[in-house]
Amino acid sequence: MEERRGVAEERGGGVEERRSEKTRELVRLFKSRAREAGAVVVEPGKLDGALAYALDLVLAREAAGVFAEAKEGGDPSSLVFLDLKPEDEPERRREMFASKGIRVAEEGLRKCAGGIDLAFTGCALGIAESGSVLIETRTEDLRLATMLADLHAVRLPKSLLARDLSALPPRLRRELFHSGSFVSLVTGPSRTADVERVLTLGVHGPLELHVLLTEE
Amino acid sequence: MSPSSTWKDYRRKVSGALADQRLREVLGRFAGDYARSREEVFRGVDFSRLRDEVSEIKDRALDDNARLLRRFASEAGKRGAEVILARDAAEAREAILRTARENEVRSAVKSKSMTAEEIALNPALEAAGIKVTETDLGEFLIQLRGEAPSHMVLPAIHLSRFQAAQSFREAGIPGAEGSVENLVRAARRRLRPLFFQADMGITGANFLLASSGAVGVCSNEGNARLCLSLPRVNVILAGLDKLLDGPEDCLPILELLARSATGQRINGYVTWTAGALPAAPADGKRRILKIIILDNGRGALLKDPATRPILRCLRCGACANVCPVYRLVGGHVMGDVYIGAVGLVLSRYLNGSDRSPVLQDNCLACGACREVCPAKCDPLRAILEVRRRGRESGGGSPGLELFSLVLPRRPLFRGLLRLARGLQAPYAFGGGIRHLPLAFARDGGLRSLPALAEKTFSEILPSLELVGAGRISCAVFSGCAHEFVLPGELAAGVRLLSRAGVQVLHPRKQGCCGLPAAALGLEGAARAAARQNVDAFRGVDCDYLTSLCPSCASYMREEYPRFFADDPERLEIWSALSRKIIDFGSLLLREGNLRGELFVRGGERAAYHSPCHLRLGLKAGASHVDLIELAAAYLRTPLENACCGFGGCFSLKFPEESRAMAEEKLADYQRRGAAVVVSDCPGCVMRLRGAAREMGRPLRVEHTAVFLESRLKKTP
Ligand code: SF4
Ligand code: SF4
Repeated sequence: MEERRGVAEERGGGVEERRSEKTRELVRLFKSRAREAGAVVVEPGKLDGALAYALDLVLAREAAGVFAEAKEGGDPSSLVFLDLKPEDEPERRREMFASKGIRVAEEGLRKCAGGIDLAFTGCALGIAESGSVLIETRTEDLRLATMLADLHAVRLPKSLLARDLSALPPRLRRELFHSGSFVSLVTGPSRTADVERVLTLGVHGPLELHVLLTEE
Repeated sequence: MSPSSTWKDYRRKVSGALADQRLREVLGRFAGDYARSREEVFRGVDFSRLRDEVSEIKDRALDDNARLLRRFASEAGKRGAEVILARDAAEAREAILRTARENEVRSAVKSKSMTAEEIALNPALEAAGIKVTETDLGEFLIQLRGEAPSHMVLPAIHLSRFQAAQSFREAGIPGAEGSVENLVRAARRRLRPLFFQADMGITGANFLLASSGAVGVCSNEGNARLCLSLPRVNVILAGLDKLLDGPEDCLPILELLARSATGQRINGYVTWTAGALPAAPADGKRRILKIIILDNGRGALLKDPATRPILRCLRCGACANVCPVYRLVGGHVMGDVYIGAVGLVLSRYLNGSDRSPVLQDNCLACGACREVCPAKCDPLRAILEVRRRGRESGGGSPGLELFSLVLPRRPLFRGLLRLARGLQAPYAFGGGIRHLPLAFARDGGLRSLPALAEKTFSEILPSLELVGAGRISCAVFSGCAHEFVLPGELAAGVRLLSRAGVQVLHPRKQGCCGLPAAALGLEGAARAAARQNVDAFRGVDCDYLTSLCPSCASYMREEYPRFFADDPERLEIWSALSRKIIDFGSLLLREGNLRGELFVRGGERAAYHSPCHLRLGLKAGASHVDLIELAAAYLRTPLENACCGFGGCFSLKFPEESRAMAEEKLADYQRRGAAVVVSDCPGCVMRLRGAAREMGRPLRVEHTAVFLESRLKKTP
């Protein structure tokens, strides 16, 4: 009995180790491919760290005097969108931004033609080989936030990393079953090479894409 | 418009493009950059497996097209979209205009859609008083300038940043000067509010997924997502050929699409959306989604086995990126809406059949497009097919008809060539006459190609004193160029083989391989030539079958089986022979028994020209520079693989383009210090030698056989 448990534990440990070795490898691959596509990839720890990172991005922009243009109502202060689940303690997180004088949009993104400063969202999957994140948006506000934000910070828990595109079809089948579904595989910030083939970031969508690889 | 004036206009466009030095620089740089980034991004990727997958997926979907269409319509319908099948461009335009009228649309934003250009949507919308804005940066630019796209993926590739900034200035868009980044930001500021204001968003699609009625769209800029999300009325317009079954069908396409298009690993945004999006929270109106599926000639292409593979096309533009003609003159000359190799074909079938009757001739048949296509469309084959049909429906000239009568009748062919030789003087021009079989083509201009030789190869063969029996035997197909124009090259080649103990067999009844006839679309003559040659080689017992002309060899290997589809006997003979085909250089490397000490080694530097039909057609030649190194200092040059511009009848129909290609290469060889250029194809040798003479460049151009044989040490 004792002995058997020992063996099982050992095996369990081995599987754990192999799993974490596999994750480490996927993380390495994801980072290099996403960076090649122009994304910034960081490992800020858990949700707290991820939000702190996002907050820093906005504050650094403010310090440099950069704001999204032409905001609704003429209020020049920064405007962010936070995609948080009920279990993420959204009130407390919003307060984190509000206490620094940053406005948090919760709905009505359609009014923000001038754009918003930052969108903080989750994602459904990360694809290591292409350095992409799969973003499923069932609500219009979330969808528009990912398009209108100057900076898009995507939280990608490492457990959601897959090696290649073959992870997509099951998710797509499930999402596309619903009417009004809208799923994007996003790789790097918005880009164009239409003028003299000079690669330029941020033509229509986000100027910067930050992928925050979190532990949970 | 009469065909000849169309032809003249077209030639004028070609000359204009050639005279545009800046355009040529841009396209030249692009070709080099593309080749490099493509190589980089395909490293470690199994291209041939993936493109097999893509073509299988596409074929399966095309087989099943009718069912997929029904399923798509029903699934999309369940999700609140309306699907409309438009039989032609007019129906598609009308469906969109009706949607606009019903929903009081006054303005529309568009993301890049070649299908919308195919149906000439913008003029129709504007005529109905609807303001349309292209939101893809390149398309926006050419819309401002009132121009047509010059590339399928990079529509404004012909413009410089200065031209672009000037167009912005003239349109009253501030802040575009100084850098490409400023330009891009200015466009962002100008276009962003338009997405919000527009009543209608018009988008193309890369995938129509029948299993869920979903639409897939790839873009880099993110404008397609905004077009799909913001306006209250959405129109998605896509060809019938975009139907697939489920999401898994997209995967190999995604692996290859961006890699082939721009050398990126994947498109920046790939979006799938199913059904009408929920209404915006505030305005409460139902969102309208119409999906227009366009036939416009696709159904006919689908039913025809010869043209069907072209419907696998992903519109990646790779076949333009590698095409030597595109590289030289750009897209305004090479296609109509669809550009590049595939454009030469689609412009004919999808844009109304006679808008571009001369386009298909602007192809060198080099095969580069066939090589890179991620969907195995084989645009070259389709181009040749279109030419053939063009001739059949009365596009031939008296010269061509004479040619097709004469070609399969060997004695008559020889007789006429002898006659031509006799008449050489009056036709002479710069030391040359009209090129061979093409001398019969009325619109073949006078070119400085070599004159016919005094004696044909068959006539000098008996005097060559070759070994009677050898350790191995090799049958030789001479081909017109070596038979009639440059028999000395072939003689040098067979002497080299004979020296190495290879018994050379030269069946007497052989004739032209048939490639020029096929290239001109003369199917009957091409078939007759194939038959004649198979009969000539019937019963010849040999270990190898070689030719010093890779164009003949690759054409015969690729195309002959098609002619014998209903002739099992010849098919069998040919299959056995075809397996023995080897290009001359590879044969020399394998059996030639050549060593450096056999040669007098001068100090001169020898560069290599890799013939397209050797590298791409026969997939050989990678180590042929080893042959050069036996007798000279080999000089590697970056344009080694660039096409020389010969392309048979191409050099006659488009002498300026052809000359420009040759000139570019020769200038580079000379600049780098080459004294001699070695190649494995008599066509390339003639083209480059002729151009060197015209340009007064002191470069010698030699066939590998002559290069080697003339440097052999004299045996005591
Ligand atoms: S065969 Fe060569 S010249 Fe002809 S379209 Fe293809 S790439 Fe261009
Ligand atoms: S024919 Fe092939 S290479 Fe050309 S655009 Fe279509 S898919 Fe791309």
